[in-house]
Amino acid sequence: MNQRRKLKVVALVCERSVDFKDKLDNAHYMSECPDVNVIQLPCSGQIQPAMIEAALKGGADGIITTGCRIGDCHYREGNKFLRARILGERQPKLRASVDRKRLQAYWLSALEYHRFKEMAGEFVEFLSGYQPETPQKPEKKAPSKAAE
Amino acid sequence: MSQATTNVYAGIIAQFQRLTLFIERILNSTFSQKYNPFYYHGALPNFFLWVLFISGLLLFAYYNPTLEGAYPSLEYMTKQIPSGALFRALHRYAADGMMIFVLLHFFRVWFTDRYREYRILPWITGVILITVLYLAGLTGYMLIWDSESVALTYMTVNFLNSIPGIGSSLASLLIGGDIVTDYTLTRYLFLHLGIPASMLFLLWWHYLRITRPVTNAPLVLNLMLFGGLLVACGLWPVGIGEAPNLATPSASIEVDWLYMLPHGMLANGASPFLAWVVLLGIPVAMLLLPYLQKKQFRGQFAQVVNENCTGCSLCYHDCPYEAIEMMDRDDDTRFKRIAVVDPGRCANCGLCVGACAFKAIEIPRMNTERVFKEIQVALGSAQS
Amino acid sequence: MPINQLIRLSGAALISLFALIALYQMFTAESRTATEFTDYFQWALYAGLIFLAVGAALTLFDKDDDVLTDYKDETRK
Ligand code: HEM
Ligand code: SF4
Ligand code: SF4
Repeated sequence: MNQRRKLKVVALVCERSVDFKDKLDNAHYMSECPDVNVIQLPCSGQIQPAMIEAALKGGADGIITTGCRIGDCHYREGNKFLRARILGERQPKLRASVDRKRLQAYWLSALEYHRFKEMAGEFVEFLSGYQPETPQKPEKKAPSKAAE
Repeated sequence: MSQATTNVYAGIIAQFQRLTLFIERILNSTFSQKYNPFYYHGALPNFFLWVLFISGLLLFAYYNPTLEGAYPSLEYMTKQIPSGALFRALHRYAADGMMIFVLLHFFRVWFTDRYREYRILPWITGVILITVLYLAGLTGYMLIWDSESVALTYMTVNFLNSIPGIGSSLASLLIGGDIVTDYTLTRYLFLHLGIPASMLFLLWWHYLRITRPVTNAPLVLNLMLFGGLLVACGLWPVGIGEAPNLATPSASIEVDWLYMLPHGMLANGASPFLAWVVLLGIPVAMLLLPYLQKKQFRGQFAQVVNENCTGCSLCYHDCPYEAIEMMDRDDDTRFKRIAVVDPGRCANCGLCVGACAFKAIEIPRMNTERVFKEIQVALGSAQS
Repeated sequence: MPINQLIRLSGAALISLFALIALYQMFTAESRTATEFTDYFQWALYAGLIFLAVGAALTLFDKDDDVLTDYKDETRK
């Protein structure tokens, strides 16, 4: 692989989902995927859309949010709410102007570090070649309301 | 509780948690997270409860609670009414299924550390629920009133009589007098209808502090559970034993270990004392479990920043443990309402933080300012 | 048709079929002669197996992914 710029990918991760014990360096970068900086929170439900927006505005190349498997949130509903916010189905919603391609959300249990590494690696790979299209227009597309 | 014991216990639970996650991972690979039965641990017992209520209604329509009439009415249900035997089988296996899935629910909430502090109310009502479920099942087996049921009755009466002092009064409460009469079966019927009815109240209590409890599994899972029930009925049809004879009851009983734990022990030669210790020891141990671990966030709970709160009530809707109340406010802001957190119910989970768009609520263990700062640090030091 | 709707419909159809049969049995129960009697355990076995198979098949085609990306997650919900 040719030399590429080190990317700035911020991962906001629930402390009960993917287990990063011995996987991070002192500054919270993943030893096996140094483009990714991991910030751990008590629950993915604590992630405010404003945090994602702030990170992108602050120059992040990509954002990863990670919660437990949908259905297994320790606090019952945190990951579902985050997913709904990202999809624009729950207040406060993530702004429609946020570049969707720069954001991924994973739902993984504490045993699934390898899956995280694999997907984060692919994401970094994708981002390194990614050129955003000309100025993002906030697309007002009504999110498909699944009858639930 | 000494520090060392607490740590050993916490270590064991952590291992069981890994085991649970491992099983869930396997289930995810077939069902995907959408239909993983472990993720509907509370909803699955509810499915069996509804099957029990509906099938029980049909049995109730034909049951005759008298000494002379009970056995013939069961015989009629089983041998004369088409699918009557099937409904009996459904009722029996749904009862077994319910106990199995309640146990699964119990072990999962225990092993995944979902059973203490702010969850103490569902835990305690859960212990009552499983006890009540056990009694409901046991009285069901007594209602059949074939010669095995008579043996079961005598066994239970002796078991109760083995308690010094109050034993004989408990026994006469159970059979409605000192000896078996018509009132015995009326009493059984009362218990077998009344105890399950009380479960509805207990379930309301069980859900009291849980916002939006997941009480229904997806239709596909229910379909498969029902399929499993029907297969069990087809493989092990339920029949009826010999006619009852009060003087010479059946010499042995067929033990359903899910509902006859002490009876099974007695039948295998255990002393009544030991059977009582086990029967009473299990719920008592369950009640004590939450106190074996030390508190996680002693005295911490979500803090509302009064100046910032607009009273939008988004946090109130999202809080998973009913810990937030919207109160009227009368200070001189233009907002009419304010969020107030109940310290005893708060899980320190931060869901309210994710819901608030005004930086008006915080949990002490991870301030939002800190998250924003860590993001900035991550971006700043990433420059190359 | 979205797969989740298909699941709901077929599940509902199967269950209502069962309910109709059960109802029919109930209404005709008393008027049967003993020779016509059947206890339906065989029937339960086959119906149960069909339910299990249908349920299993439906879960196979309706999966929820462990990643949400690009906002184009069709498999969700
Ligand atoms: C009749 C049997 C029972 C039924 C139908 C039942 C049902 C439920 C349901 C629907 C929930 C909500 C799950 C959710 O939405 O997150 C729940 C939660 C809970 N149950 Fe039960 N339950 C039963 C028995 C028990 C027993 C025997 C225990 C343990 C002793 C127990 C302990 C709990 C606890 C601790 C929670 C809270 C879990 C959490 O907050 O994540 N339950 N139950
Ligand atoms: S979400 Fe924030 S602003 Fe709205 S009521 Fe709750 S604390 Fe107040
Ligand atoms: S942290 Fe917030 S959302 Fe979680 S239980 Fe406490 S008040 Fe409710």
